[in-house]
Amino acid sequence: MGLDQMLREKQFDKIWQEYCGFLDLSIPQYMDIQNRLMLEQIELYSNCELGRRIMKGQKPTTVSQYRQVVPLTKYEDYADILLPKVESALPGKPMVWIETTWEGGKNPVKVAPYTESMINSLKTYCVTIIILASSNKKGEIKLSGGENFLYGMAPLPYLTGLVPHLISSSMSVNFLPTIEEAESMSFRQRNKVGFELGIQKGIDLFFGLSSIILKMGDSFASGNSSGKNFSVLKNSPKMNYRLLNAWIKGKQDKNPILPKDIWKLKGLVCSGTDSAGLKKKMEYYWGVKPLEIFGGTEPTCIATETWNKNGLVLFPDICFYEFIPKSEMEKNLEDPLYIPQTYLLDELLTGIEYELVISNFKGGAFARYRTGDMFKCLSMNNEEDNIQLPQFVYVDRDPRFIDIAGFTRISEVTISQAIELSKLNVTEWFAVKEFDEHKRSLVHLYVEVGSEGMRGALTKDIIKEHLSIYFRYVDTDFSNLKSLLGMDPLKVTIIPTGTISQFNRAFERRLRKMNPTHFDLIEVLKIARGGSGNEVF
Amino acid sequence: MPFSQIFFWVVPIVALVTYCLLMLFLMVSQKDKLIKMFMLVLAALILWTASSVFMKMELSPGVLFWNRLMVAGTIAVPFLLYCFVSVFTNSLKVLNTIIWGFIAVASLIVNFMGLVVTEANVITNPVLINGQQFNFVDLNYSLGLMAYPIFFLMFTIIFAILLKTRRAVNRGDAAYGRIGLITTGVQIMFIGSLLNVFPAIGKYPVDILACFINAILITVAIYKYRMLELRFMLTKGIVYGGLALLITGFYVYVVFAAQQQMSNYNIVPYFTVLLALIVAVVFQPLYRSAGKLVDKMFYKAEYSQRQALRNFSASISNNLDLKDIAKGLIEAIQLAIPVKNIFILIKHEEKEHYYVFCSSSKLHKSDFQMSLDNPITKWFISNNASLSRTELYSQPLFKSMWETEKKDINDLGIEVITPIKSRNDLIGMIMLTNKKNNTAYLLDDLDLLTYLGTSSAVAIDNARLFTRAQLESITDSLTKLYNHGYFCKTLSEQLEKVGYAELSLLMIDLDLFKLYNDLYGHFEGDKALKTVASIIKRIVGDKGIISRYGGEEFTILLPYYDSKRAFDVAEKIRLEIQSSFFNTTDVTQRFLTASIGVCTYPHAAPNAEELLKRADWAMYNAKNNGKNQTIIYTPNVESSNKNNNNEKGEEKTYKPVYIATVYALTAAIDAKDHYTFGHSQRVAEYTAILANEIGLDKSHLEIVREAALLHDIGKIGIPENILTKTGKLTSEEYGIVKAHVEMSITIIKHLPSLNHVIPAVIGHHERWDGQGYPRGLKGDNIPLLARCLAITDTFDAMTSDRPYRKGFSVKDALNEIKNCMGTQFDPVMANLFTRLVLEGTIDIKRTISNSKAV
Repeated sequence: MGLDQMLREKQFDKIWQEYCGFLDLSIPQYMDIQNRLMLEQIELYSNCELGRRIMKGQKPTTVSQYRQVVPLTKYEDYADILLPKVESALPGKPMVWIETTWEGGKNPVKVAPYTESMINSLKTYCVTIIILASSNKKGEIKLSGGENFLYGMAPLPYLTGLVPHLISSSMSVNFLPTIEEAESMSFRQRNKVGFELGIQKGIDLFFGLSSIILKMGDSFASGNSSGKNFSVLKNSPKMNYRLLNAWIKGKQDKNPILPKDIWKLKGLVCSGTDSAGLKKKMEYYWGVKPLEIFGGTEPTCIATETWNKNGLVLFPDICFYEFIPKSEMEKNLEDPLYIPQTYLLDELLTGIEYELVISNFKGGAFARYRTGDMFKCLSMNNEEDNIQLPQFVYVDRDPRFIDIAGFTRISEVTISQAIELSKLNVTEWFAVKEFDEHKRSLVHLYVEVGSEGMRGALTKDIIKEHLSIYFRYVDTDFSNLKSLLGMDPLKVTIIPTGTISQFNRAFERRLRKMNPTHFDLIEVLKIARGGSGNEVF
Repeated sequence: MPFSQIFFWVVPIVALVTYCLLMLFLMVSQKDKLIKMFMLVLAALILWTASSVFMKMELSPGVLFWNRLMVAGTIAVPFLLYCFVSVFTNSLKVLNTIIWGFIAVASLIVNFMGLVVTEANVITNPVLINGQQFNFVDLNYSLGLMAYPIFFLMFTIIFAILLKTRRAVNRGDAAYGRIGLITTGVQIMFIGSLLNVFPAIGKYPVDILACFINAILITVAIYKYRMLELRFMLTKGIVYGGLALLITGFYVYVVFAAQQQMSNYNIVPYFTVLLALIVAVVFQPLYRSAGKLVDKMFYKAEYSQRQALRNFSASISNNLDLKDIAKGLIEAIQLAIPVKNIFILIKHEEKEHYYVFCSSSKLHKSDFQMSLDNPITKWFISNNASLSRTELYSQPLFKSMWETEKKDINDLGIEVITPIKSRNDLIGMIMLTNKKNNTAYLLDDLDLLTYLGTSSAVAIDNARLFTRAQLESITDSLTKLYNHGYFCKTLSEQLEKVGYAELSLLMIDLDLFKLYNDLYGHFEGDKALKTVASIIKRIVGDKGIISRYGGEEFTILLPYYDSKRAFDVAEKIRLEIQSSFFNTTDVTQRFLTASIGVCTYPHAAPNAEELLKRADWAMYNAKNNGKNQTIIYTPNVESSNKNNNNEKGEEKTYKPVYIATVYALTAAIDAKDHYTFGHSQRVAEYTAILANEIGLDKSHLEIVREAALLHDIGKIGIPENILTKTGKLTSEEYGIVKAHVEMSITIIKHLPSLNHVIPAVIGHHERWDGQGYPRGLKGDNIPLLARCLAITDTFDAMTSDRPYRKGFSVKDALNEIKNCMGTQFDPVMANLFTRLVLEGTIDIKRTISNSKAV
């Protein structure tokens, strides 16, 4: 029986069981699923070239053997097979190839194969996500089929572009605009048309990057919303009533009209770095608690919050999960030859940050792959919601990358290229991810200029201007930040020449260029301020 | 009472009672959207019918009021039926429903405004029939202006319903079979209502009869497609009761009518009693037939199920044949549930999976297996109920299923799986595909399956145990192959079975297996037999019948195999055994090979006895011709074999060859190590005396002598600088020296005629306390001859002069041997040796001088 029919017949218990039943698993049951599917994946690996290479020609018979045999991997380990899309070397036949930018990689993009079986699992979890987004308590299903879905994410071949296809193949949903139309539009145009249609027909569900969702709210709050351009004749009577109501209310209270005044969303789904810090404001603008999910090209969509929207739970049958504690990860950053210890889901400690390591199930390509995503384990269960599974919060990318609003990931290579292209006399630098007063992330670049270099406020602006231009050149997503979100993602500070080398000498180690530790940052800035007696610019 | 009057009263009353009962049971049963909608239709029908009855009874507030209420029911029923059909066909359209609802409400208002029926009254006319007076009740009514448009609208709705159902069928949203009953019901209702337009017919409750039929058809449709469990509504008692009431009513009516008729002809009063009796006798079969009809109509499934259970229970009691039980189980299920295909899975204890033991279809996928760690089997360990396909998709525990496992289930089209559990052990499963009529499984079906699973479990378990016991009686416990007894039995059977076709017999004997046992112990020997058995099983598979004929002998019967193909199989086995044992670097697995004799019926042997005898001939021929080979029996082989045996009988022709080899090898080692010159001969001399003293026969004395001569042959491979080193050996050098034992074996294994000395040679550096080498054997596990050789070898080594020390005196050497009794040496042997030396039985001086002379 299809989901639409079950919704029509209001078989809510069955629906909940099928799509959200995994939340009732105990940890041993969860681990049993993990182990069993990992054994299936080992079997698949053992029958293909990629797998044999990764498993060094061996065939582990247990999961622990697999963890001993297979080293931690990165995209470079797969590039020669995945980039030319050598399907015969893979553990499963890909149904679709998902693409993303390869920050700091040798190629502009990296691709990941998704098998039919992976797609089927994702299909289920896409429905899970919208059910949970629209529920406030266990077992509550507000969906009825035929909802209007505003979809503010990138189209295929990006992972986010797969989601509408998966949802529409499971249930009747009206995407605003339709999937076919949306795929031929630019990001900006898609959002604009989506909102116009939303005003005409109403919006029940909205899925977007947290930064975009917030930006929409900001536009409404500042009265710059494109939502003003509508025709009463095109709108449904219900929407005209709501608009009128919102307008009267706004006039009475002398407040700007907010999205929540116009639309009564059933569910709001958000993703992207920094979501955690933006959720409150999103709720204020949109009137519903946003549900955060987590996904990536290599791991696919792997986690969602539940009805209380207070912690991510990892899906049990998408990937095999291992976790590198932050301390181990930092040891590895200092000494790349150091092999960090990994832990399983049932071995985690509350309050610790971990880097996620995944092995795809169901014929996916990646084995013990370091995603570079940091999660904090909030608790090993959720007593309030009676969920026996660990609860996580997504912290950020690992320190080697600076993710800005979920749009772009800036690496050491990106910054080096921008500096090199700018021909500026920057001799040393380091970059730190920071947040502005609106909790929006940005790159704070500390630079040393040559001994004959420039000093003072004007020169700082010149450097910033130059770098901004070249950042846009080396990272296309960078330019979208300003145009779509209206934010300036780069801040430059000039520090006295020799500061970094002084730090290196003092501490007998090199200062990390990307996101130095909090301690190192304080120390290097102390040197910058105190050593020369000058202020940091 | 005339028929028209009975019709006038009975139809609405029966309809009303039936509606109320239906409504009552619907109220207490589980409701979904469809049932709720049907309840609304029923409510409108009750309104319609009740109003009709009350009107005829001229109840307050008056005939016109009840008539208008009746019309209200007439308006409401089509509209609600429209809604019901919309839900039934999944084609509910809000706008259309609102429009029709609006029309219905408007019609109701018009009706209550008095524009449909302007006047209505009931006229009671006394009528004399056969001299008896009856009050005939007639309904008179006048239709208003709006009556015809409203009737027209109602017919339009009914027409819309019919259109809707037709569209649903055309679209494929609903099967005609599913919706046919409803369409028929609506058509009947349409015709019945149409007749109301004519007051002459409308005064009779034709419309109510039509609606009643419609309601019954809808109820059947709902029941038939499992939208409602009818048995919750109509319990058996009620159905029987209702039926009995109807038949009794009819019976009474017949008796009274007959009496009435008879009274006209002045027939005696007691005739009434007689008449009643006759009618009762006539009605009796009617009662019985009605009972059966009820059973078949309403309880068809249960009836079949009861039959199935009765038959199955009878068939499995005291049955120990697993096939019969499984077959009976399948038949029982088929009788109770019209299922397309059934699979019975049974647990395979050794291979740790469940396999398809039998199926209702001959085309079943026989290689389907379900592993013990499959989530389905795990689920059944803690659950006893049947598992449906929907649950497989919805239960999160099944997320751990492998894609191949899901595919296997899908490929077979499995809809329901039921456990067969005996004493909490999941011994099997029943897997069912979908039903023949493609309808869903009812709760009762699942309950029945669970019951059948449980009731068959004990029988299946007993049958399994019995089969296992039967199997064990014909199975060799060590190798799990068939035993000698079974082989003898099956040989004749197989010959009979193949008729004039070919059947080859392979007789396999492991070469030097006694030596293997002596050398490595019986535990290793048993392991080797198991390995050989598994090799044979792997190669032969189910193409032949493999038995352990006895000891280290195996037989393989290959029906329909000619000698060439049988030879190929034999060679495959021989080479596999050779590569498994001979080429391995493990010192404990070096010497096992097989000699195989092949004989084929009917060309080479006319009967079972000759076949066996001649395969045996061929096998011995292979052994005598150097072992590790396959020989096909032909008359030539037999004659040459006889010749060989004759030659073998004369040991003289053989023995000098290997004796010469022994001396040649001894000379080689003596030449290499001058300081131990004569050591091997002396040791041979001492050991032979010691062995003789412990009572070994002549052949063993010969073996021990040869073993003693060859025990250090491996030293050929040790570099001379180590062999003659005067200082202390480094650990590396010591390791090389220690390796000489294995080296000895490597050399001797190339001389099959000397293989018998290996146990003694390989064990002469073992210690009684298990600290020796190369295998660290302990106590009695060290071959006897090796224990003798250990003492004599050490004694001679101690008493000989070495470059770095002078030899011990005999006394000191004996003391040292005594000191090492129970640690290095077998205390019994050491004591005996000491005594023999002290007694002079072992003459040291003579032996030394003899060896030097050599």
